[in-house]
Amino acid sequence: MTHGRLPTSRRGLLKLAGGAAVAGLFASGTHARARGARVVVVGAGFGGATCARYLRRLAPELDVTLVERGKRFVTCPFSNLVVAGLQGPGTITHGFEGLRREGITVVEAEAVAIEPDGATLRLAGGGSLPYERLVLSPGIDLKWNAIEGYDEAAAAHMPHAWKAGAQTALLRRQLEAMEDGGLVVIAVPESPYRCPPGPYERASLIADYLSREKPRSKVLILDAKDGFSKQGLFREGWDRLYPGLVEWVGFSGGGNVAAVSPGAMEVRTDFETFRADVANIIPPQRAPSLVDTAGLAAGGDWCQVDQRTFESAAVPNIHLLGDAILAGGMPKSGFSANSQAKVCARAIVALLREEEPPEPVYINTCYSLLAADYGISVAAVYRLDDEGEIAPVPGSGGVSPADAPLEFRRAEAEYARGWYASITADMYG
Amino acid sequence: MKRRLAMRLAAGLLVAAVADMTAANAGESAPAAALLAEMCGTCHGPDGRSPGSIPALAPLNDEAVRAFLIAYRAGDIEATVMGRIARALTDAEIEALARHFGKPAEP
Repeated sequence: MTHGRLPTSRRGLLKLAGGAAVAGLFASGTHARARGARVVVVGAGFGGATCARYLRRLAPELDVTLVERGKRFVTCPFSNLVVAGLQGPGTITHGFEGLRREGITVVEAEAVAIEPDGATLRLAGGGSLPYERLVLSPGIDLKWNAIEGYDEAAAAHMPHAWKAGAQTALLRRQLEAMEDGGLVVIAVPESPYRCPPGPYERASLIADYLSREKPRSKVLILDAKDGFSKQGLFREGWDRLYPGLVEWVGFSGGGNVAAVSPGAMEVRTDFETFRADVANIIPPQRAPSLVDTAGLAAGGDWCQVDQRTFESAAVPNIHLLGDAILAGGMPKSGFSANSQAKVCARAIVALLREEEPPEPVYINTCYSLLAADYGISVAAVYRLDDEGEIAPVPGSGGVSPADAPLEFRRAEAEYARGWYASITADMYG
Repeated sequence: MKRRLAMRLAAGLLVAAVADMTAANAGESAPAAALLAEMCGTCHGPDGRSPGSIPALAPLNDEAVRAFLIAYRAGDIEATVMGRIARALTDAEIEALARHFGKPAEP
């Protein structure tokens, strides 16, 4: 569990001593302090932006560089509201001015390779960044062709919309163009995948749009598993809000999607073929291929980390956050990544100072909206267990109560919006 | 309604006194107050300054933070999500959060 913590930090020190950025960690002059250890963070989403900000807050002497491929970041949380036409894409799009104001160097570039031996991150176009500590919060890659026929080209006809931005807009346009009486198919993969309740929130909010504008239409969820996050609450909400509009077929009912034909708009399960008017195919996922350039997934789909420090179990001085890692009992959510980032930032500062990383605590709340004024949630607080795994605190956490009055659901919808305002302020200032 | 909350807060304060005594027994493996408080910030806003609909913690005094957390944990006040979260907190952590967020109450 405490994988190489001391040796790692000693190695870090050697590098520091030998490197150009020797600088301020142990020196006292202001000039020296201004050139602290260099921490490079990849990905300006929930894990990366949070980690960069908290590193600067905790240790202003650090030289923090945030590498992000886009000029702005579009969040997956609340993108289902954009899909349903309840709010515009601008409301989930965030710039990095606040991060720059806090002294974080934001580099607009694609990270293409990690060279652990030279402690260097390579960027597309030939640039490179040396680091004392590297933090990767790279999100996910979609596994093209895991569903037969579903590749990048197919996604232009059958959007996944599981990375927010152009795909979100495409799914929205398709729903707007669909005739009343159409069939919307949503394919959901096996666990683990990004945002466990996300597909069901999407089904709900699409149903909200259809019930308002195209009430003879239907949403069919074809699921590769037999149960899902907040299932009882979702089903209760569908019965209350959209009776007969949403149908869910689990694995045992023949819901596993095996193949698609984008040209014919066909979605084929192991038993049946459906002709969809809109097909939202959410394929299986894995950690992005960037991690493979340093063997961080060790041949698997996800990266293993020391769950106290989020340092890679495979390669020292590299930390990983968010959807790309296995984090014990924590789900792959933006909230989880934000929480992990705060623990990681404290651990990195401690390791660079040759101190013991502090005792961690972690939290997650996943709100889902079934309508603009109907919210449900699942929450948990986690600690590190004796095996070094992140585990929920017994007796705490859980889901919203069943059969709660509508005011309760309305309050949770209001708090969901409050959460979004708070977490994005936490990430981007 | 207001009176009921006040009574509950008063009851919370009694419990808080007990919590105060046990705070001294906090083990070495307890998370630092600052990290705990950062976890609150995800919903209640950075440094407890909420930009949206979730109540801000920054304006509260320490007695209020302590009493609310104890009441949420006990299920004495109605909550959407806060009861589920507060049940994870130890007495020492509640005390640490009260001191972190709360300005000392006026005498």
